[in-house]
Amino acid sequence: MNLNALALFFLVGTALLAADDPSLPAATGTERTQNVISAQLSIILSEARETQMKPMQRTIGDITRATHLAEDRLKLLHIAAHGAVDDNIKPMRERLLKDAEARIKGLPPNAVVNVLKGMRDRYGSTSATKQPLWIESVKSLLTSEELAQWQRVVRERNAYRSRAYAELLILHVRKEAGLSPEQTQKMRPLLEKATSDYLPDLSMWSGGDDGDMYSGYLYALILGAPEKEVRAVLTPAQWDKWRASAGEGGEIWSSIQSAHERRLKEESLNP
Amino acid sequence: MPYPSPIFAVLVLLCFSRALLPGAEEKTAAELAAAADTFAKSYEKNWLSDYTKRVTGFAEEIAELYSLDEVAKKTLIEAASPLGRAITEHWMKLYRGYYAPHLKLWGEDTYWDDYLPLCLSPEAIAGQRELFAQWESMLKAQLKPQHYALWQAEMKTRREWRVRARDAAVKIQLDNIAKSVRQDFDKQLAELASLLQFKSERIAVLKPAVDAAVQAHVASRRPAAEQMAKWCDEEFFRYATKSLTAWEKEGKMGSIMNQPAADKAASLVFDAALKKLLTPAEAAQMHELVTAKKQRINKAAKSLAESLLDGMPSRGGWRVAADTDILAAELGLDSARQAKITAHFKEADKAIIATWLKATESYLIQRINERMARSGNSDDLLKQIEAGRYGFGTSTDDDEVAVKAKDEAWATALKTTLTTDEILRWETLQKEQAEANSQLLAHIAVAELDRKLLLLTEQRDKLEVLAIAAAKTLAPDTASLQEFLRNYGASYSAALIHGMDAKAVDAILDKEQSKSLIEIKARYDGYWSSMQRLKGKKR
Repeated sequence: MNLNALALFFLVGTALLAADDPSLPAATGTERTQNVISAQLSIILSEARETQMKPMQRTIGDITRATHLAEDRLKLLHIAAHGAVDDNIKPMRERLLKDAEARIKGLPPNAVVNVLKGMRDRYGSTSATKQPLWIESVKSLLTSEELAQWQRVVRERNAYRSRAYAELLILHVRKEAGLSPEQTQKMRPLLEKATSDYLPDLSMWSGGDDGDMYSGYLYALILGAPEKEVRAVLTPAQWDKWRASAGEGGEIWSSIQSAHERRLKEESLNP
Repeated sequence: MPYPSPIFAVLVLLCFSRALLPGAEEKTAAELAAAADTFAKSYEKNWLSDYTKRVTGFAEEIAELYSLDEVAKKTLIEAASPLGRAITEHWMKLYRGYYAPHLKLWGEDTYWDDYLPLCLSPEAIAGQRELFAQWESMLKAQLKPQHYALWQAEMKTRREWRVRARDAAVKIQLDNIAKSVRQDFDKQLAELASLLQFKSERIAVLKPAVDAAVQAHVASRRPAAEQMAKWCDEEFFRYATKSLTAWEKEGKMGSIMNQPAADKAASLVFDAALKKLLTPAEAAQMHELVTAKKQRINKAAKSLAESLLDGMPSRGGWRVAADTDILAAELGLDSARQAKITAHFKEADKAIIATWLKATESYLIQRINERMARSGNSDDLLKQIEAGRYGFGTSTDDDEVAVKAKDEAWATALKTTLTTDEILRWETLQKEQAEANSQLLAHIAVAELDRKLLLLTEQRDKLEVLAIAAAKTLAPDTASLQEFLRNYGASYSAALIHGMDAKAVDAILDKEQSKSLIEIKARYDGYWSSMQRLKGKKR
């Protein structure tokens, strides 16, 4: 347990003890509950802050490797990351308070603690890298060459990943739809484009940026290849098999498309 | 588990009797010798080959204990080393001679209690004692007299501890067995009372029968426990160095076997008491109820097996139409020849499915009975099973038999339809595909590692080289690779990191990435062994 968490646990303990300490001026029931809520909220937010800082630190590591950033600017980047995480957590605090109010009404302080503990995991999964503070800080702290250098590293990484998964899709459809070597060659660029376009939108179904990718959903991307061009290469029977080869991925395809559109819109607003 | 009726007892015995399982059929002498040889070799690899390590480790321990200088330590280890090999050879010779007749009886599965008699055979013990005498002479020659005397005293203490620990372990295990058997009988009594709507006073008559049945069960397993303890005494090189705290405190000495025979002995005692208690009408009623339940279980198992057929692992990668489509496309076969292969394969498929269904039904009957016994034969549970609300898996052994049969059917279909040239071309294409699959596996693994380590392009390029080298040792066929990715998820390809040269990987990463890699390795550790099973698989 780190010192931060230890201090916060101490805070909750104190709040609970104070609630029953006869030497202190008697607190009203509402005050006692408020004390417990504040202390427990601090713990939840501190944990969320710690969790959200991890990917930020990994991103800073990535930038440092790509640009050999000097120590002074690196420190500023760390400060910006903390600020971005704080900004990210603010709405979460509001939501948490609102949800908690409805759930803890009329409960004694000890029960309030349990209810709030149970709510811990439901908040704070969004990445702080999308916070304007972070985006602007990166743009201002890096020179345009450094920024381009880092963006190139990220682009190449994404391209590598897209190609790898496109290969997997090719292997899959080749077997499922019985493609000839010539047909396979024609499908390759179509599937590479489909993975390049839609793979980032699958993160919602694979536990975020760091989660595990479930192959069943991955096959949804087969449907990302443009129908007209695919049909031009396949026989009608193969086309049916092609569609069927998306399997259960087909069930989430429309959601992936919506996520894709949302992402493109966001990116157009924050180029 | 003991059952209160002979019908159940017979059923259980059938389930446990390995002599009735496939694989126990008569084999030719040459087949037996080959199987025994394979078996002995696998034992050498997994079990025996560490004798040299044990013996030299033992010598190292002595050198440490008496602070021998480097030269004396080296000399001692060198003198001890041939003895390790001699022990291995001693056991290998015994195994080869022993397994042939036993394989004939048991099939290729062998368990601890199967080879316990071998371990305690006069030849094994005489050989082991002779080797121990050699070890003692070697020590006497190598050590200073005062060290040798100290070592003898040390061995005396360890032997006393071993005997104490061994006796404690046997007692703990037998006590645990007695407790578990009693619980099972208590469940049976409750079930019986509810089944025949007996009053508690009437069922109480059976309590002494439970005591006697528990005793009969334990008495049947005691000789196995004592045999095992005796073997631990004789196995000096394996146990003289080992910490025996777990034996003494938790009874962890290896499982005491002989359960089917013990269940039978207990059931005989209990059933005799039950027979005296029941009126003929009650016995008939019970027989009727038991038969009805057995029929319900059989029916549920049949329906479950049918529902599991589609999910059968071997069938996941077994898509006749897709396989023949690829084959036809690659070799340019006309539709008539493709249809011929498909027809041949589908015909074989029917027989394979029938065999699989039959084996799976038997397996599920066994599993349902075990599960029912654990829940006190609850009718509610049986209803849930009948409604398909309770999940059971299939037997890996049965699945593997089906996969093998499928592979053979595919090979026959090709042989009867294709020309020799076409078969050669197809085999070459398969090899090329395995190569491409290795690359694919490596690329996905690197992409997934990259997602977590955030590599630079040049780091990724270097890691890719190591990943390809690791994946090439697996060279998976397409169906197996797809099965792995389907079962575990594409991200689990990152387990390939365990097959890469660790030092070379470390040299590529920076400090922060190396730290992350420790977590990644731990996360995917268990999946590396599953990935290794892709090696050499041919579908």
